[in-house]
Amino acid sequence: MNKNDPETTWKNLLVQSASTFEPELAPPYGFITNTLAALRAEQRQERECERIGLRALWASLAALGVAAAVTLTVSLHQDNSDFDPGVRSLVQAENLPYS
Amino acid sequence: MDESLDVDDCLRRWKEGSEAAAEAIIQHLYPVISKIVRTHLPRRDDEKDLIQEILMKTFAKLHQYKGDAPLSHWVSRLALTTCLDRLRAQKIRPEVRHADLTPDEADAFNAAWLTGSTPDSSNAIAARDVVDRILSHLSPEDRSLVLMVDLEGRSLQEISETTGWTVSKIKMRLFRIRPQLRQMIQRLEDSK
Repeated sequence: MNKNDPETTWKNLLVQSASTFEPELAPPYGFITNTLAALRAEQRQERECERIGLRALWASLAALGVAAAVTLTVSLHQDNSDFDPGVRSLVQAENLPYS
Repeated sequence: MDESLDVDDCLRRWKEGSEAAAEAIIQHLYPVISKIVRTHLPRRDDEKDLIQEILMKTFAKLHQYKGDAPLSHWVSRLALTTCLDRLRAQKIRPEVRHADLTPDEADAFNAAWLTGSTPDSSNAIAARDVVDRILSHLSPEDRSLVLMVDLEGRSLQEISETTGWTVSKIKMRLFRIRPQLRQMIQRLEDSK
């Protein structure tokens, strides 16, 4: 019996199997409902992530604000002396005037 | 595919939160994605899950769609990339021998090999499995390229637009793949 060359065999195989490559023209029952539900779930998750992110941002801004306020308050309560606290106490012990 | 669908209107309504618009987009894109998945992935792969994955990616990236090409072209590229990623995750199989074929696959191969035998579409699934076995030796890109040329009869320019590869790269690949494909089919016959 005569045989084909590999090239023709390949083409014949493709012709034989052509129907298995045909696309489905419409989604099967339930596919759209499933996809829409998955889409909704993903959007919900995205919104949740955004909300958590925003909360974290506000919390870190608030912490930063508190830290800034504490630093400012402490520095305002400190004496405006040019000396370090240790040096200032020495000056006071000697009863020397300092500015 | 619903050619009369007003894609721009659907996209606008989808962005405003309309589920009806999302449903119309899914109906419109389903055949396009189904064709790509069926062509580029082996028959047994779970195509419904993959089609849904591609649709999810499409909706997530819709804001990037500028409308300078039809939506179906834009989605085709996304679908092909997803299929190639899926294929990359699968191992390239060792060489197939005639003894590895099931009886139906062997019949389909023999029918294709002998001159004068008319292609028998009742054996389509077995023939497809032989095609998948032969293609499983190629890289995902080579596999897709062979099918786009030999099965879909697409021009090099069209393939270039879908894949983003240059025409000369496509020619080079095809030049390299052809002898490989011939050799694999010849070996399959010789291993009888």
